[in-house]
Formats: sequence, structure tokens, C-alpha cells
Amino acid sequence: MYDQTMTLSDKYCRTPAIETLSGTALLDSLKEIIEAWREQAIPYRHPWPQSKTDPTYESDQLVVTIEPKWLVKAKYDLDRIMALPENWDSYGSPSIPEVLYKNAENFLRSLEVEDIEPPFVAPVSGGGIQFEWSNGDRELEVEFIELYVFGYLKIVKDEIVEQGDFSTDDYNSARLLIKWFKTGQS
Amino acid sequence: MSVTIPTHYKEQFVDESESLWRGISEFQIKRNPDGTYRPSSGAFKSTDLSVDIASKTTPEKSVRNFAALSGFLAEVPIKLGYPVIEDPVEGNDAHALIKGKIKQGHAREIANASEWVIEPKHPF
Repeated sequence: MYDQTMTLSDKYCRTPAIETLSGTALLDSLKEIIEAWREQAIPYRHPWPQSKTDPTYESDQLVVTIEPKWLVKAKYDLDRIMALPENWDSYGSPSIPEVLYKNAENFLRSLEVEDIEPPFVAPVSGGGIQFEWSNGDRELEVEFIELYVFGYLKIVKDEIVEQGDFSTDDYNSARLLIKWFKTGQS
Repeated sequence: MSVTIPTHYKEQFVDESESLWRGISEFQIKRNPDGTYRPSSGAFKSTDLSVDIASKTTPEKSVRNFAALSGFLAEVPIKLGYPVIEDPVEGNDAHALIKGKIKQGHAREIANASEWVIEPKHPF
């Protein structure tokens, strides 16, 4: 008989000398240990509550994401203008639609690897979002007003040198715009 | 038989020489590298953009609760293809509309042409 005051682990640590057991007996002994452990085991839980809406939630693992400082600042400014109520400009402009926020956020995320300054983030009268970057004489404006396209404006010395629009999921074009902004080369 | 259109139904076009004022929200004021401020072109993108006709009001009345007041000549939007019409509303006889949907490049041109009538009071 085992000592009843022993803990489970202590108790099962006192196994008979392994060399005295036959193969079957050893297997049975191990099964017994595993069953005993299963009965007393407490399911593992995270030490803090974690919501599935938390952007870091992924399956049962905590994923740590590191964003560049410019992106953190840009997203902060984006969230700030998303909180604007109806008629935020006193001219009857509506709040910014969620879909435009998603488009703008995806655009920023597509530039995550870029080493750039955070853009000036402005709401657009009539409903929309605008990013503005300045680099000496060069400026880049990107607007999110339409559902499926973003518009851009390349400016040099206050003169518009190119304007157009791209599909909101054309992230390659987004990166080319930033390349132009950084280097002046298309 | 001739039909007389009541005066208030007629669109009164604003002359090119008039100055137009537009109130700017604090969220649409960008700081330049030299420390000065300028309105974002986002402040001039809208369909039928509201403005005040300068000759019919005062800066103090127009600025209301805006962070700043910018001004530009009516000829700027008119030459870009946007007519400006008088549109008096209750409590604001100076109200006018820049008709049409202002494109991104044109909004930037209007922003470039604008000057502060009342500069931003606070750092943004």
C-alpha cells in the first residue's frame, strides 16, 4: 500500500524497480500513471481574459505584433478622426464610413515595411479620409472617398505633377507611390 | 404669354471678383515644416461646397465655431469649372455654394490659392 498522505506525483514516483517489471507490467504501470494524471489535471487557461475580438487573438496563442512607430502614429490619428460625430465640420459632413477606414488602414498596412514619416491624417469634407506626406519639395496626397478606389496626387513645389486612382487592393501601386515620394522616381 | 420666374428661384451667380470664405475644422489644418499652417485640401472636397460671400458678412460672423477661416477669390473655382451661386440660408444671408463635385487636384488648387482670413488660434 502506498502512503495515503502522499501527493499523486510522489506516490507514482515510487514505482517498482524498472528492471523487475515485465514489458506488459511496465506498460500497465505507465497507463495507470497517465490515467491518474488525467483525472486530476486542470485544463490550462490563460492567466488573463482574452477576447476573440482582440487583434492579437489567434487560436489559443498570443501573437505579439510589432509595428513601426510611424504606423502606430498614423493609426492613432486615423482612429481619432473615425471618432468624429456627424456634422463634425459644421457643414453637415457625415461620420467616416467604416469601409473607408478599412481601405485606409489596409493601405497603411501595405506600407508597413517602409521607413517613412507618419502622414498627416485628415477627414475629408463630405465624408472620407486623406493622408498627406511631405518630403522637401515633394508631397503625396492619398484620398479614400470611393468604395473601391483610392485617389492620389503627386505634387512638386506646390505644382500637381500627376494624379489618378488605383483599386483599393492594388498594394503594389501603393508601394510605388511611396517609392516616388521617397526617391522622386516612379 | 410670358412666364415670370420668381427672383428667389433664379440662381444668382457670384462674380469672379468676390472673395469666398470657408471655415476650417481643426482636423483639417496641417502644420508646415516652417511652423506655419495651411488648410488641407480635404477641406475643399465636397459636392456643392458651402462658403460665405465675404462682401455680405464679417470674419467674426463667418468663423463661428471653426478653428480658422480661409479665403480665396471666386475666380479660382469658377476658372476650374465650378460655378458659384448665392444660396442664402436661415441665419446666413452670405451663404453660397460652389457647385459640382470638386476633384482632388482642383481641391488642392483651391487650397493653394487660399489665405487665412482668421489664422488658427491653437497649435495642432
